[in-house]
Amino acid sequence: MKNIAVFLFILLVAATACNDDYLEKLPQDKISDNTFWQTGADVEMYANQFYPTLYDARLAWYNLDNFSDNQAPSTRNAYTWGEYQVPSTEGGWGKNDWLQIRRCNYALERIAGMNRDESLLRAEGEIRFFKTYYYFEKVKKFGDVPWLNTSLTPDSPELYAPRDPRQTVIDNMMADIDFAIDNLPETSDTDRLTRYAALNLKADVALYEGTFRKYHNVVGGHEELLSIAATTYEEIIDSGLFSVYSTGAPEEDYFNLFVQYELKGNPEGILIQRFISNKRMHNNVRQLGEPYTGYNQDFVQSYLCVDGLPISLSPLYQGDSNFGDEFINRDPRMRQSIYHTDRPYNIAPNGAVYNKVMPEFQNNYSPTSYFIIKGYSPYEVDRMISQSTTDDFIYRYGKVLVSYAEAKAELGEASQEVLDKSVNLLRDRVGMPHLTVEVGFVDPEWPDWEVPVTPLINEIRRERRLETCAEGNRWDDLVRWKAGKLLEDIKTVQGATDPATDDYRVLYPGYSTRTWNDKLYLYPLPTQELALNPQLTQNPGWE
Amino acid sequence: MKKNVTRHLARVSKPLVYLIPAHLLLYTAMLAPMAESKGKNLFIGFVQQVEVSISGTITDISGAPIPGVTVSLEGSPIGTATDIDGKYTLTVPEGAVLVFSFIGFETQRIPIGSRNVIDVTLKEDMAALEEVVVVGYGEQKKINLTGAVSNVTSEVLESRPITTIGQGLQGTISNLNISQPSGSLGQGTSFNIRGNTSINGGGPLILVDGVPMDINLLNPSDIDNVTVLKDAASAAIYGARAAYGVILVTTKTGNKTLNKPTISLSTNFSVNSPTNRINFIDTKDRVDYMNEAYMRVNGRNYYDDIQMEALLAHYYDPSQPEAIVHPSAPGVWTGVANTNWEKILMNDSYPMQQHTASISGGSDKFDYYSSFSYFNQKGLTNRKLFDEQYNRYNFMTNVNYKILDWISVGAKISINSSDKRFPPFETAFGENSTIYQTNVYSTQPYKNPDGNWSHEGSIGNPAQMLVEGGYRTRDINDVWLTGNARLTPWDNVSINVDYSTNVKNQRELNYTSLVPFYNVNGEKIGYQSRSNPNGVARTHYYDNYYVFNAYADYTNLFNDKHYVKAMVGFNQENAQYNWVAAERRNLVINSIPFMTLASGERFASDGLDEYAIRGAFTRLNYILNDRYLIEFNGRYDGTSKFGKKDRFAFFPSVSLGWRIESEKFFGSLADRVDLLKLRVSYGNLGNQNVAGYYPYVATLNAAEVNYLINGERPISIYAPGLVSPTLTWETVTQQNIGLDFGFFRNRLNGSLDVYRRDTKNMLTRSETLPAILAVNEPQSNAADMSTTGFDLTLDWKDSREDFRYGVSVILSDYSAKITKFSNPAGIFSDYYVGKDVGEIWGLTTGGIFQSDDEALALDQSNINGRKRQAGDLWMVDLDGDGKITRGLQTLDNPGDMSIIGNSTPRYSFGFRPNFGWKGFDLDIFFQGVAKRDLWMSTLYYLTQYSNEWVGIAKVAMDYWSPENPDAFFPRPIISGAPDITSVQSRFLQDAAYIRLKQLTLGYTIPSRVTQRMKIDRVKVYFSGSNLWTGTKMIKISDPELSGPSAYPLFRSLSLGANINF
Repeated sequence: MKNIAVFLFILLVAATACNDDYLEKLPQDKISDNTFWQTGADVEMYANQFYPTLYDARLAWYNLDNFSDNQAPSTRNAYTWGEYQVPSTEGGWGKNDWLQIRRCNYALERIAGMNRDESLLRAEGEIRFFKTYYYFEKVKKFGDVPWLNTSLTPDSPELYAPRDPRQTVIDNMMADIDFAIDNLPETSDTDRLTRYAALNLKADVALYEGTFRKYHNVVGGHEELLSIAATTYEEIIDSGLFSVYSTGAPEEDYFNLFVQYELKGNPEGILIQRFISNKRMHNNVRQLGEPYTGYNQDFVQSYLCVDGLPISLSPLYQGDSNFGDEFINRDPRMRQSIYHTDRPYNIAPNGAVYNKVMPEFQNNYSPTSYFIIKGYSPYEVDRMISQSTTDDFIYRYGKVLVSYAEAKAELGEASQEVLDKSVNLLRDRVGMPHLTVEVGFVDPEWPDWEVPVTPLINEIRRERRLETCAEGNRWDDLVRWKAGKLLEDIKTVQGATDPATDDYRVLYPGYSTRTWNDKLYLYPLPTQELALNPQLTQNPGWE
Repeated sequence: MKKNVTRHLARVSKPLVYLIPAHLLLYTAMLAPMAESKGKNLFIGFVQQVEVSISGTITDISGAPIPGVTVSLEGSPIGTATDIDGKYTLTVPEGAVLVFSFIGFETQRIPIGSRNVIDVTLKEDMAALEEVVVVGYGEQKKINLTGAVSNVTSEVLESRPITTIGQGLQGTISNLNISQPSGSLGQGTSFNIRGNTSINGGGPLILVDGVPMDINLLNPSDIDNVTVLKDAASAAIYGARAAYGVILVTTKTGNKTLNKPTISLSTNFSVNSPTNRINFIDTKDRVDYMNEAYMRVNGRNYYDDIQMEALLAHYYDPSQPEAIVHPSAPGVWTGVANTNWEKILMNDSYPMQQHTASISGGSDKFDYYSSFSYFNQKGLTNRKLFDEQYNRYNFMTNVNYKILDWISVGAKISINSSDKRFPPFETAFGENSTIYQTNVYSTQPYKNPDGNWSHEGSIGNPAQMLVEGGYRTRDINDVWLTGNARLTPWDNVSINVDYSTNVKNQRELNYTSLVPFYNVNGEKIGYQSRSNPNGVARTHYYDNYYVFNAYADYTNLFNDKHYVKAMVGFNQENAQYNWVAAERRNLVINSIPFMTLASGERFASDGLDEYAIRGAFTRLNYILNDRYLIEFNGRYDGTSKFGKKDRFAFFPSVSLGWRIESEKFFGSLADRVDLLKLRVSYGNLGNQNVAGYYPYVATLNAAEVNYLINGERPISIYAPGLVSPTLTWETVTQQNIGLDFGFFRNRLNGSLDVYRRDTKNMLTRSETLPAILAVNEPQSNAADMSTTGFDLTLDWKDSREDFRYGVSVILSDYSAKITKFSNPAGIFSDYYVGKDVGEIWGLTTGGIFQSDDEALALDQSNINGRKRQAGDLWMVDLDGDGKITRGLQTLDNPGDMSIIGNSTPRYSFGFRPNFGWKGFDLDIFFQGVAKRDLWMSTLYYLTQYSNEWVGIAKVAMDYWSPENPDAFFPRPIISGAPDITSVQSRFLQDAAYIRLKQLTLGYTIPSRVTQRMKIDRVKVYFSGSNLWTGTKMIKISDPELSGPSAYPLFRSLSLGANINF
């Protein structure tokens, strides 16, 4: 018996010892590369991950304008005050900042070997759209950047290559976005990307790059880009699918456009994102209630009077020594963009209405007293934390119209017909007189552009500034127009007239004005990247 | 003392298969039947002479009776053993000499003279020479060990009240480093043996009776002994999981030698209070601080005139309102209070209790041990607001049955259950962080003037969150079943087989309840972040673990001088981790957290991971003349974590020992030297510790996307990170030289070990690559590291009559250097060859500028673009280029950065004197670290310079102003002070400390008193832990923690009693 026991023991050990399956454990709750990439639907599912980045890039979008000459935040903007340091890592050039481009390339590599049917081409179009979208951010921030066509591995030579010139990058982006334009559908019932979203992106890239090259006098080729911008915007306009949202209420339509609970079907939406209770909600309304920023004096003065004349010329202007006066006889967009005492500030669930007494300098919520109300729904339900369901534009037809006018004007092709099918439609919505090719006045307060522009371009830029304020594009505009020096204007750090002093509110009493430095047009690369790849060079002024 | 006795008996009663010197074998053989005879005079019939009957009681120095003591007539086989009460009766010839002996005690010879009653007090034998130590898959006499092995017995663990085994072991074994991330409820400790392991971490393998368990869940009083295998040679038998040492925990088994069951009860009540408390600034300080800080950046006050007036009005006259309606925020309250939030949110003290009952006994065929224990701990969170608590229940039964002479079988059941209830999920209530909420300040009232809970903008009220916000629970049920069989078919062969299965269930609940905000009219105008929508989420983890061990050994002694022991074995383990999570929002009734009673979105997810290991191992021991020892260990190991061709590896080790004191040349010195043993070992181990279960397989993850496509949130598939398909084992080579010694009749004992551990091919991310790679560098076998250190243990024990005392000292140290890592750019934030692990790079702070001119004279624009002013920090221009820069942060171009410290704890020590006098004993235990730099987490320490929304500690008021030029902190600034929050010498903390970890005063009630109550022994004690700390750290953080925001450790004062029947 003893021997049997020992024998059994040996048998037991031997039986279990030689079975290699025991150690073969593979993940069961994950998908592997080999099994996933089959159909266009798979790629479309993969592309879903990029959609939220459309919103991330615009999260609390009004804050983006804190860099610009439109707004003045409670705490000084460190970048434009020249207090930004070259970071050692991250700073827009970290691993996460390049991740989305990698993810696009990862899919593109695999799509190449798949059956190229229509659904696949459409999905590929989405991915190429997003790749262009991400590269646009990179070029705007850093200028020259490496163009990547594969998802890199540790052996990739691209890791140690120099940056590609912005020209190359833009050319490649154009090829990608053209693919998207050719393959994306005209419309989408499911709120996915369309051909018109792609056209809008392409035109925006072309306008940005065209004006950048023109005003910074680099690389060349800006005429071609501007004409691409113009024809592409024109294609959107001529499609007839979109129009300016209007209910015939010039005092409210513009304000209401940005607090819509449902933008699906709105004629001004080229690409919109939806928010539905309990499924997806946002916090922007709440943040706008305590924005810690506001429009500045420089911006407020740029509104025309209802006669179409600037305040320096119009007899209708009532002055700004009293807060309410400056709203009188002004472009109706002013009262629909800036808080005025007449507007309900807060509507409680029981219907009780609160109005703010203006001006208000008592706290840091809006230090200039010019509260941003674009997108600010006064209803308390929308102010609840992350409970708001007002929808948001990603590409808005109204902005296409001002961009189109600008592209045409830069080309010297802005005829009255062009103006009438673009900016004047926006003026019609708010009941403002039309802009004419001749402009008709010389505003002594026109900005002191570093590169002088025509009166018409001046007025188109004004129209753009007012129509798209607090939408996050003013900083980009200053950069491409080489207009950083405008930030030196003391009015950019002043608020409304403070009754206590009878003078404009000075935001940063210890700090009179900022001094512009051209290096700020491009961000610096993090120092660690320069150490890792000696082929990279720092952007000018940051060395 | 009684415990010692039972422990010794328990050990003796185990079948002895290892070599035992002849005299001891005899001893053992005699003892068992004698113990059974219960004092009957077995051998009386042989006696022919005039006889007298002698009786008496044998006690130890504390007066406790010792059962099982051999009482024999000198020079004859006549004898008996004491009974359970320590009494004996023996009939012997007149004029005889009696010998009283018992293992672990000094033998006494007493001539009977004319006495009939002889009571004897036996003294403990300090030698305890034959002590046996549990080693991997077996036991070994301590004297015969050749590896670096330390152990502690239940004596050490039972001498004071401890709640987790980690707490009990801290400071008792040199270079067993124990740390606790926080003092939160039920928080376990983590273990490290001999310092830096691998770049990617890794800790010791912890086995309880041969199976890997979470020992933080164990009842410490079930533990019989703990062995730590420190060097590669002793750990090698565990192969690929033992690269960083092994901790072997053995639980108690039944006591066969007493026919009467032994019942032990112990009870303990403690009052805990945090070792550290942050005081936050009050409203007056806050007004001053924030205005000054805001003025710096924006040229005006932080608080507007209306608010400031109201704040100060209330501050100086508390009858003034705590909140006002500010014209700029009509409808809501603006707080102008002076609230002491830390007092509102935290208890001053909180109770803890632990009760254990055990029963143990057996006969020569059967033994059993069963215990039950209950532990309850309340939390720091104010009880009036939230009932935070942790309960642990432990049940264990260990039974062994001898079926045949050569087969015994055993079973062990161990059930460890715990439940915890803690505050709801909200960013500020991290389980391991202080419940003081990051964004709450004194200006926010506890409640608004109208009696509703207050809030400040989107900042909620932490007290309201605790009361109304719901709760989280975590219930763990950890059940282990072990069956084992032990076969001894031939005298010198034994075979052990055991199989364990573990089912661990962990259920978590996260109940989020609505926390409303109120306006001035008392209307609900919103809800605190994360509390809306309300909802309930449940997660269920279901883990299975199976362990199979089989090993056989052969022992023999040839020609009285060649001792041979050989062991072969097999081990395999596999684990399966399942989880299911479900969540549903919008509860129908806010107070009933069930998904079936909710109407909102449903979320569900699940997952499964598996892994397995398998290994065959062997150990060979050879001892020549009890003097020259050699041991070989080898293990062939395989793991599922690597690809097929990289899966298996062989890890050998060898160790040698030399008992110098047994050598003839030692001569007369041998009288004073009881032990002098030199040990040398060399071994190779693998490490399979890598992140994840399938590190060589790239997989795509799926997750829901936060965007609406066609009105729904779709899922998406995400590209995998980079993996290296050729991952394989790290190898760890360890060399150890050690010396064990015992002097002065073993009153002084000790050992010293010096070691070097080379970790090769560490599995870590490879060389840092440019960021455009866009994902983390793949794991690869990329780095080498070398760790060196020493462990020293010294023990002194002595006694004089009623007085006994002892001192234990442990001291250990380690440090590590990187010996291989590809880093051509020389980035010092990364690893590089020659880097001392733990080194801290930073700027050197010269001081604080006292004047604007001084500040402007130095170009610091590269570390802070803001115009420098008096009150700013000045940094030392180490490279002398006239400006302060960080260069490229590379070794070639470090700018003004340099190595300013090292976070490795150096010279960890424990110092433990203990004294006993009659029934009293006093145990004092100091523990500490002699040198360590800490760059502390900056929350509540430096965050007031980078984030205007955080609470500010009182210490921050020591800031620079012309009136306070010698301040510790620079001038306040609301934000944008990267120069202040970045690593630099001024704010580096000296985290060296010495701490009075434990002080226990116990009293054992004399047995003559307790015996009358039919109780064997009663010990009562008072104990305090963490009573005193000596450190230079800033007073907002504990030197054992990572920074001020961690849930504080506690100081406890306790009263307890141990009762044995």
